[in-house]
Amino acid sequence: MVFAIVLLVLVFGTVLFHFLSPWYFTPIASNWSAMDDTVTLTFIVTGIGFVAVNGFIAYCVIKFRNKEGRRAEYEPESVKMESWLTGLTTVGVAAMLAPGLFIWADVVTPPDDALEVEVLARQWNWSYRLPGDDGKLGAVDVSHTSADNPLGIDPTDPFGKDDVIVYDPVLHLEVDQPVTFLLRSTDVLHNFTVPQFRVKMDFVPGQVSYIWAEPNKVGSYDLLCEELCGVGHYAMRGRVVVEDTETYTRWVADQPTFAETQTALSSDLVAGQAAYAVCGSCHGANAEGNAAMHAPRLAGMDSEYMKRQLRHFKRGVRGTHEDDVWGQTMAPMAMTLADASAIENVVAYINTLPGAELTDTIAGDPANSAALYQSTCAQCHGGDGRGVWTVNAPALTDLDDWYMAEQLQKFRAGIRGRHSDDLYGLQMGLLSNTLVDDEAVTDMVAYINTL
Amino acid sequence: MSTGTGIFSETPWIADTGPVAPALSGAEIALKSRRSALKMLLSVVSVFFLLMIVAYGGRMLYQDWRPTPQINLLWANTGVLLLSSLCLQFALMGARAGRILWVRNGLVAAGILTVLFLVGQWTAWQQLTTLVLGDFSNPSVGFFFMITGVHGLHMAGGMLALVRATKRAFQPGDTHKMEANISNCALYWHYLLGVWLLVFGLLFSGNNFEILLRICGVI
Amino acid sequence: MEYTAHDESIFVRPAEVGEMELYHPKTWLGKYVFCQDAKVIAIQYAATALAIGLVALVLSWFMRLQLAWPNTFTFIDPAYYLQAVTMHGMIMVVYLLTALFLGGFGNYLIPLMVGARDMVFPWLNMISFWVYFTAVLLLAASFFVGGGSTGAGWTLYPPQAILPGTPGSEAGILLMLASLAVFIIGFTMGGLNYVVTILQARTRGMTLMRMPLTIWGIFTATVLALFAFPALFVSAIMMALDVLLGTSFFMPAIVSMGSEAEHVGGNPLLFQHLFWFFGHPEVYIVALPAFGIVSDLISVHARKNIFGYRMMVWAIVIIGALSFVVWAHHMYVSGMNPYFGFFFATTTLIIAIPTALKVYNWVLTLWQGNIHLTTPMLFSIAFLLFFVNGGMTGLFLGNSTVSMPLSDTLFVVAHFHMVMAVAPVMVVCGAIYHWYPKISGRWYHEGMAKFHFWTTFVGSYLVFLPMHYLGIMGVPRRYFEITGTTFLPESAHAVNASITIAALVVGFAQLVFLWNLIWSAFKGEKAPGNPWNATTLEWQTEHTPPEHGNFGKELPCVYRWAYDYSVPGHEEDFIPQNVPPRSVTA
Repeated sequence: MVFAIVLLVLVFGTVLFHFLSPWYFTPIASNWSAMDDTVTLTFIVTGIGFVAVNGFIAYCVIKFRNKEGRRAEYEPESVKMESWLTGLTTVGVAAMLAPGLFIWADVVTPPDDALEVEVLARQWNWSYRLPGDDGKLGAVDVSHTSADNPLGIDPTDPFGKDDVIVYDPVLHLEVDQPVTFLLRSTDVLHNFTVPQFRVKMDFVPGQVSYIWAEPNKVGSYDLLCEELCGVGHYAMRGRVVVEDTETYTRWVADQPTFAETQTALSSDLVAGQAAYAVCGSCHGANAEGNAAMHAPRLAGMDSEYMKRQLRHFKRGVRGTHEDDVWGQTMAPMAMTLADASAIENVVAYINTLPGAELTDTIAGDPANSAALYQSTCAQCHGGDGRGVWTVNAPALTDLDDWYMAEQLQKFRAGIRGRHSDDLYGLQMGLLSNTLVDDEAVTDMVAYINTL
Repeated sequence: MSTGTGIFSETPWIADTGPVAPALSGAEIALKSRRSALKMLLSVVSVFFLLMIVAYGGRMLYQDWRPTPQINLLWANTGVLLLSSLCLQFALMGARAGRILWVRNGLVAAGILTVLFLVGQWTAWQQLTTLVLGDFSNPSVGFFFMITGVHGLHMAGGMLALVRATKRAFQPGDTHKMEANISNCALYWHYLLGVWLLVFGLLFSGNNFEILLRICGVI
Repeated sequence: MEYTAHDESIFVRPAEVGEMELYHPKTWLGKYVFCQDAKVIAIQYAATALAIGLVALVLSWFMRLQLAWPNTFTFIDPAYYLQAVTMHGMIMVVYLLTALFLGGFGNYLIPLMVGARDMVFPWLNMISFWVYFTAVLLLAASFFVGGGSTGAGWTLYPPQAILPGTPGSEAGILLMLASLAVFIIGFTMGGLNYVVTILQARTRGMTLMRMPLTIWGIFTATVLALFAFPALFVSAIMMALDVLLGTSFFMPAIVSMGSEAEHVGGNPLLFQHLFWFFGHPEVYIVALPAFGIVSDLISVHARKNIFGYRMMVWAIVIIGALSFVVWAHHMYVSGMNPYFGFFFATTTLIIAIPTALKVYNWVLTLWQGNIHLTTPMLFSIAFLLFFVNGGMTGLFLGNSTVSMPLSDTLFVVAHFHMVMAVAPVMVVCGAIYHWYPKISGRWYHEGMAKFHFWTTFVGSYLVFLPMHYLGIMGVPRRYFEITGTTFLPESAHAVNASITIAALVVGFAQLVFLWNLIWSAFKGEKAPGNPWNATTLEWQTEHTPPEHGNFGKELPCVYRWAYDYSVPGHEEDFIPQNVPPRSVTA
């Protein structure tokens, strides 16, 4: 009796939970509302079956439970009843399957007017490529991949020259414009999921898979990798921004073409030196840094990393958090660099500066953090701390230890890396959470000092 | 037995009223079991090879397919394996006819030929390794090593049973009692010969690309 | 319809039964370690499986702790989390459930239930266990090698499984592949034994259609396993060659961690096809024995014949056959040709029909029965709840369109835990309690058993029901933590924490269960030979526990099916299979 009641409580509790709990699909932002409808339909059909079967079980347990003098009926089988039940089930199954198959036909056939956008996934970041004026994407091959040509575009293919390169995890899309995402990976399996779009698909190295959707609601959406791709899997985040035509067009125009990324921006050391004058007042004439000013040593800092951070400071992606006092100091300084070539120049100049001998200022026990560094941090920053370009992780060996400790604390506290456009910052923020307290941070920095 | 005899028409809830079949002896059960287990094993092995062949065929369809260089020694190896299978058949005939000499000679010859086959396969591996300069990254080369290797391992495993049967044949005894063992060996050898002919014919001799595609139902 | 027609005049008493040659151990080692008695081997299998299963259980606690309270426990870093996920899954599916159902229950029940003295190849049977044991050791060894065990997910997908960036991509994955290969070799030895014993060593009168459904379930599952494991074996070999020889079966040209790998032209999807060609039948390798056992449990404890026995048999066979043509429903979003989706969605949903029929027949067995709510029966009915729930969510995931927003989320995790973790475990528990008096000769402790049941039953439901909704919200599976998203509400974390609490309680109850098994073996009350008044042959043995050779001097002769419960005109409410019609009416 108790058992039957508990069973009924669980069954009806399930139904109530379904209707009353706040946890359900995030609001849809694409054309695939029919997909949601099939889910609802399946809930209705299976829900009826679930309640009916379990309700009947509870009824049987109450009605036919053992009592003094009770004897079971004897009935080997009833082909008639079995046939009826089978028939009924078949109808239910067909009712769920048929709409599914019709919608699947839409899923597998992108419309002709869909814009083709290539998404390149690799451990553990995203980049994108849009066809240029010729409307065609150029040929690619893994063998062309390098730090200067991270997407591996064939330099000899004329179709590739005008391809728009988005070497950043944020993709912008035009609202109400169907898009076919061509999914390409250069290392392992990944997956392209925007929960609000509903559709998702895996990347398979060696081939290009596809999925299409028509985003129909302006907004900014998380892009997730949902195929286990290694240690950084959960931190492989991107962003899809759906916006009106005008904003979108402006965004596309701001992005470089492949040809532009290849004609090396002439790094003018003289101009760089001039621009550095502002920087030198804090970071030192030799880029040796100044701990008192909280200005880190820049000599030996990863070039790509410096350029990205300067862009972020300029755009307000970094240095805008109210608690980020030193970031706020840096942001207006970055504004003095007018454009991409100015950034290029100053970074080129910094690379010529000798810096000064690094001194250990952080006292911690490296032995406590060696294992965590090698299992987790090393995945991106390298076992030797020299960084890995494909994961966009800077080298750590030439950084001030106090600076690393300060930044790790900022990441952990959410002061840095929480701007919606700072996906690498978010990634580092998530990973920095594996340092559970202040001591863990100093131990980690102490370990990095030993590399 | 119950009303209705086949497993389709049987009404199992009706109790027996007829006479019960006589029991098999333990020895009879053991004999039938061995044959039955061998057949089951061979079907499992068939799935195993089938999967590798299908995987090979699937991979062949890609544009960048480069076939394995030809190894002519394989033709000779095929002949050797065929002979060893024939020798086992000869031994089996001997066991049935009660001719102990046929049995002994057949078994020994089959064993020697099988070892020869394995040596031949090993040599073929060496030749291929030299031909590809130790680079196994070409998928067809990988498949070659895997399939021939797995086949060779099965042959080597079979040798255990063959050695046992041969030992038995050199002890005095009734040839009819050896028949079951020899017959099982023969079945295994014929089967592996069949497998070899299939993979050799399909995968490794000349360009049988098209035949395979037809079998896979692609064209 | 006339159900109990028998004409005594033509009934003939059987002649003496032929003996099977039995191995008689002479040494202690031969009796307890390298024992050839299927019953001892069964206990060895079960004990090993439960021991390694306990490890997997603890790993699941670590995972749950991290998900509920992220970044609190320093010993769980992202790499360790993935290793826990991987090892938990692989151990539970292969090394616990497969080994327990086929090696454990199969070995114990097949000879007893079909009326044989032992397996037909007792020596091979013994070897099979020790090979399995070796596989478990290899697996356990991977925890201790440099880089740790593999963290590639239990599906072991290449390329990541063997590339840097994934934990255990050096030694861990190779040990895992080696362990799987060894497991498969051991299983093939055992599996041939089970199949051939059922085909060749049934006692007289035990026609195929009179076998208890337990045997049908184990038989079909074993055949499935024999044909499905080669796919895993092939893929294990190929992946190992990719690592060791530098072949390119699964490895295309790639740039891994900034440097170009040496492979060219391999196909990662080939692995997935092979893996799931094994992986989907694997689901039924676990499910079919559970189906069979639960049928018998429900029948015994409801004192009623299993309803629609013939349909139940055919459903098992049809499900088994269909399970080989549905594999790619695990790959709707894998990047394979999406047109395959039409075919696999259809076959997958067709498989729901025979499965549903089985559920109906279980329920109809309860209908008008005489239900004794014993501990085994409680677990059996609990199985129905979990199985129906998990089966229903299977209809979401089997249907390509419906599955798309749900795949790779916790919905999938919740689904397969309901249907192939909790549901079969309910049957495992019910079956252990059911046969415990026969195996040990003693009763289990009723109080501990009831505590175990209620905690597991309610607790597991509280773990996995809310998990579906996390999945629907979009929480991906295999995520170390889910902070930093914009679409997940704060309350999602609360759900995670509540799941963890329930999971820890359920985990604790399993420790009580194991303690009950050990305690009762020494301190339990003595049990009679046929305490449930069951009809099948294992309850009719001379001794309890049955001695080596099972049936005393004479093998039983079978006259009827296994489900003569509450037969009209018969005073007792059960008639054992070996009771001839004459003595019924006498």
